[in-house]
Amino acid sequence: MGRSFPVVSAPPPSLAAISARPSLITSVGGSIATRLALGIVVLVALVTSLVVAELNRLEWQRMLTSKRAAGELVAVVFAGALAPALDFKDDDAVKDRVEGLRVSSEILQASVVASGRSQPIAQYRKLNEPACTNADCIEVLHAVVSPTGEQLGSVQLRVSLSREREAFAQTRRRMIGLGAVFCLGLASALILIARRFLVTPLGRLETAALGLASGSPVMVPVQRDDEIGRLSRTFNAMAQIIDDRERRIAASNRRLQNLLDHMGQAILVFDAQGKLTEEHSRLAERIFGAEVGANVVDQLYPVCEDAEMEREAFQVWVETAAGSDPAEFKDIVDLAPRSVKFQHAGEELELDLEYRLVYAGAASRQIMLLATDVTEKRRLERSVAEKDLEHERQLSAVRRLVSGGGQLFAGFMDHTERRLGVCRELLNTHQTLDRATVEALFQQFHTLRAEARCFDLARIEARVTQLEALLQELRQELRADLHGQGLGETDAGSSQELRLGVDELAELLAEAQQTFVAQHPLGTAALDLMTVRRSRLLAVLTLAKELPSELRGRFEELARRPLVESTALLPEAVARWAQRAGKNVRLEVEHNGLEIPHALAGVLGGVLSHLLRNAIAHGIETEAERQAVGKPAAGTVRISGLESEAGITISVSDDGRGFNIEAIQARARGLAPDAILALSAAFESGISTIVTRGELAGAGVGLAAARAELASAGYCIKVAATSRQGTELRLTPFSGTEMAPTSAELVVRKA
Amino acid sequence: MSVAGKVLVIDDSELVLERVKARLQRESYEVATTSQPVGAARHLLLCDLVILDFHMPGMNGSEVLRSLRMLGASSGASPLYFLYTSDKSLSRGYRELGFDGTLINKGDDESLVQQVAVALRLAKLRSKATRGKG
Repeated sequence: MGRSFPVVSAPPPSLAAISARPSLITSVGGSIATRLALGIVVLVALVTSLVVAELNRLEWQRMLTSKRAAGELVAVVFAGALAPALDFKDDDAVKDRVEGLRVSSEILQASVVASGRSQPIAQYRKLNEPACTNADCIEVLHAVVSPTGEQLGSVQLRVSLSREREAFAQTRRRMIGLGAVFCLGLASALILIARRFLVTPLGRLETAALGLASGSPVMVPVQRDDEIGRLSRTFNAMAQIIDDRERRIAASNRRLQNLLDHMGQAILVFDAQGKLTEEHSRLAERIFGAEVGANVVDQLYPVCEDAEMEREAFQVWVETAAGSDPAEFKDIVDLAPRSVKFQHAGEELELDLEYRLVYAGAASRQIMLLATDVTEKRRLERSVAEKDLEHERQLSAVRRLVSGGGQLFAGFMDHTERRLGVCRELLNTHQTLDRATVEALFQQFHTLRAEARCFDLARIEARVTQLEALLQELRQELRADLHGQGLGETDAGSSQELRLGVDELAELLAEAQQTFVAQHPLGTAALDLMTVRRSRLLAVLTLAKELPSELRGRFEELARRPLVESTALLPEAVARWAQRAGKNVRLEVEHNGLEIPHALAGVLGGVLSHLLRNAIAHGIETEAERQAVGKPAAGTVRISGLESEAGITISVSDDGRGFNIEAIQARARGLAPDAILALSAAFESGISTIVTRGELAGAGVGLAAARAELASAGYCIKVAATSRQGTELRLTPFSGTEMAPTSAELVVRKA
Repeated sequence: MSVAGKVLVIDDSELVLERVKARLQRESYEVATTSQPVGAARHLLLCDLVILDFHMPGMNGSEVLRSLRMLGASSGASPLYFLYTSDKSLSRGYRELGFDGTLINKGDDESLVQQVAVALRLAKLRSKATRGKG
């Protein structure tokens, strides 16, 4: 709903005031009030003049008519007096009578003409009077008739109008005076009426319109129901609508500004000349200043020698983009800078830049620049990348160490610790360093750097390189000092810096060792390993057969291999096999630091490969099948090792569908009638329950081959359990004197 | 409009050329290199940017530039010619030497990549403006 406005309460402006001030209704020629007043005055004056002129004309006509009537009457009387004289042709009498007219001041001329004669018998003209014209006199002509009706002649008189003219002049002056008074009165009355009913209401409307234009609308009082009243009412309604609309627009602008301010982007808008408009986000103001009219090129690239090319390229881009239409802009925007490094408040900001064309027809083209502060994100990315690189280096070093023998790394640790100890001793002994000490330290660091590089220990190498560079400088200083016969010793600050460096290296070395131990399957045991040649060990084992059992046992312990050696490659292989089978399988290995006999280690890798491939092909269901029976989508195969008094047991279990006893029976062609024997048949050569022979399984040789390989190492394979929830196989040493199984030892769990 | 483009690098050091070529090719630019300014004009066709060393035996970069501009104009090629130097006083006077721009920090490959991207943008914008006028 609209709000109520104050009512225009100012006194109505005077005509002069309204006409004097600049206003909405002022135009060339003055205000409407002035023009109205002038119009009224001119109109009234004109009308009055016309009326006065007409009245004068009528008065003059009336005077002329009266004068003519009087003249004609005189002519009649005079003609009657002349009739006897003319009848008797008494010219003298005629002349006497004509001369008698001289006494009249009104008759300026008179002449008498007898019938049949061309010349007047008598004529008279007043002396000193010019020949009168029609404007000065009127002419009266009358026939002289005898009593018998015979025309005897004619009389012509010219009667003066001088008296009438004087009278008319007085009358005209009086009428003009009255007309002027009337004109003034009428004009004043009309102006007052116009002011009251037109100018004043218009002035109020004007005041209200000015208020509306300046953003403080006021109501116009509506006092009448005439045109002005209706106009005022309409104006008030319009002002109300405008005010409502402006408030909605203002609210919308506030929401938009709020939105801009919370977009987390510095948003600028610039025109075709690159000048910033008023629209910008709060972040833009904080980062750029975003002063209206400033050039966007200066905002992004403050004048700087190193950024000259960027400035020029961006300037050209702005000019090109500003002249493009939306279709072209899509191409041109690819040529805009997409990021910029920006110095702000003493720190470098990294901004990602995007551009949007604000296109409102060819005449109004602006570009919106959205700058996203990615400083922290980039810093994190760099940090993560550096850490990833460092981690990768460490893992790479560890992988090489694991595959090549961890004892090398352990040796490096020992050597380095000793080296750092030597350095500490040298630095603690000498507060200032002489040339010999510097040389000794340089030698230690130089070797350490080379060794660290061998193990890809980049952080250690980098720190040692810094210390080596410092020592190199010290060497040069000392050489120069010797030539200059100086003291030949460095300052204490260098020693302190080197001491700190050594402490830092010790920390880095400890971190490297921790990483190595954490990554190595044997854990801290990896630090206790040493390399023994297999051929030499086997030779010792051969000789050990003749030795007492305890001593032989010790030699056999020496020949043991970590279980992890046999399983190290399996996680990657399982993932590959599962992918090929279209299944989702996860391998878990619990090696528990277990070391397994040398003979078992020789075959275990292959056996586990057979068993895992078989489990993936036969046991683990597809994701859909597993989910249908309520199992997790990903199948799990677990390998674990355990050592007990009975010896080493390796367990291979999965959470698949278990052995298909009926299928095994069928494929075994009835060789084993019961389930237990059917399961044992699973390990017979040539039997496979898979329908389609594939890459993973189906040939029917996998489990039989596994059994044979295990037997060669003195181990057998047992089905510890099988059901629709999974299967567990156990690899255990043959018991007693049994050397080779005739069937698998089975325990069947009913599903 | 793709920012990728064809770049010709002229430098008397084969080592510099190899490094620059390898680094720019990693950014998917088409790169031609030569250590022989004489005959380099045959690479100009469809070339967007020419990067020139200044100190070269026999001819300096300015002389090579004049020669290439003349030959390029006759063959209708109008790439931008940029000076590549770590000498700040030289790079400041690139306009007086007749170059369209300068690539600074010679030897810093990452800086080179960023500057080449800017130079190629400028080259394409200039080329577009020229086509528009034509």
